[in-house]
Amino acid sequence: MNEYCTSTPAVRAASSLGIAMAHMHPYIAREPYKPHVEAVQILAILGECRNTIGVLEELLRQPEANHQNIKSGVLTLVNMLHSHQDKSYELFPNDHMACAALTKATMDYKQYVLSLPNALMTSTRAVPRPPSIQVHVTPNAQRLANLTARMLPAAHRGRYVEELQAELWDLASARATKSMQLLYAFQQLGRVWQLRRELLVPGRCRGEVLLRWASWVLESDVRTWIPLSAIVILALINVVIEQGWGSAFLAAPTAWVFHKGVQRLRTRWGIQPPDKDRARK
Amino acid sequence: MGTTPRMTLPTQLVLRALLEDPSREMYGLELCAAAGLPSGTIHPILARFEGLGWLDSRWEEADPHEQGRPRRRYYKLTPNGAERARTALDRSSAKAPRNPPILRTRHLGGAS
Repeated sequence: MNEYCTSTPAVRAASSLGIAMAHMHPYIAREPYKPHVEAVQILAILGECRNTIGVLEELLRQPEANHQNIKSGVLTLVNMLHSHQDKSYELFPNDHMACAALTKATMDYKQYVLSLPNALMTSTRAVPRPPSIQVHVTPNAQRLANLTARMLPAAHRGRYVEELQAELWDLASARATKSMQLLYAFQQLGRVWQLRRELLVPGRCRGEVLLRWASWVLESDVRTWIPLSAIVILALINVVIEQGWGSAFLAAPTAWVFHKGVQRLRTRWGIQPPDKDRARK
Repeated sequence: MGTTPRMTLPTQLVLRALLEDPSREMYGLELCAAAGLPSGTIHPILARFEGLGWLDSRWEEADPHEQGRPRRRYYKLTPNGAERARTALDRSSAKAPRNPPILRTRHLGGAS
């Protein structure tokens, strides 16, 4: 941070201006030509200018420096230089060497003024910004998140738009890359139907009706075996008619397979047929 | 809303994360990290529990303009939800892992 700030054009320009002003120093300080009191005044102005440049440099090095602070510091410096320039002309009307030094200082001053906008922009970039400015949420991820929310029931859309955007922001603030943000958005989109279902009928799983019906059937031997026996007998009759008794004999183990299947399902699902319970009692 | 939802592995992970400190409010991504789940999984589960009355959710109170970011949605187990979550987790870890959800609901006596 500090290294970055010290290399900004504002600081470089300010430093070069300070050096140029220092060139003038010997001419200003030549006491035989000008009264000592005036030279002391100019030296004081030069010193003040250098101090202001130092303050500006220090300001640019600080993390809390903002655009307004920098601009204010630069303007103070410019005012001081104006004041110094005016006094120098008054003090050295016939001194060519002093005027040449003054011209050099003025040129540097112009260069400095021209470099101000760029310097300020660079300085602003160097200053740490509040999180809201630094965080970059990928627009495509935002669009996908909005699309996800749009597929939800109308009553919940607004909430999920904001919630998903907040999470995207959190991801971005944690320096998630574009692809990570997109992955997040795609993951949300991939689960949108599940979310929609949960919002419409909370706690209801896919195929729950079928599962509930199957367990109701398996809880009773009557409900289980009457339909199954009917299916097996009808199937066997069909085989006899179509293919003869031999095929029907070969298909007979189907009944055993059904029996085993039912037993297995009951064991897996922990169902004890109430008919059997009643018989035991 | 007294039913016990399917106790799938992600569901159990979310409940365990919430039960770590039932009084603590967590937002979606925080819960994802705590439960170790991908981000898409969490919202359907949260919506399910919220719909069942196990979870309460609220918007962050901070002003989004002041914060410079959108508001987060915070989730917290309700007292009843925390109790039911504990029971459901205990039962699911005690039961055979391959019980179908519908039967688990019946065994828990949650249907009302």
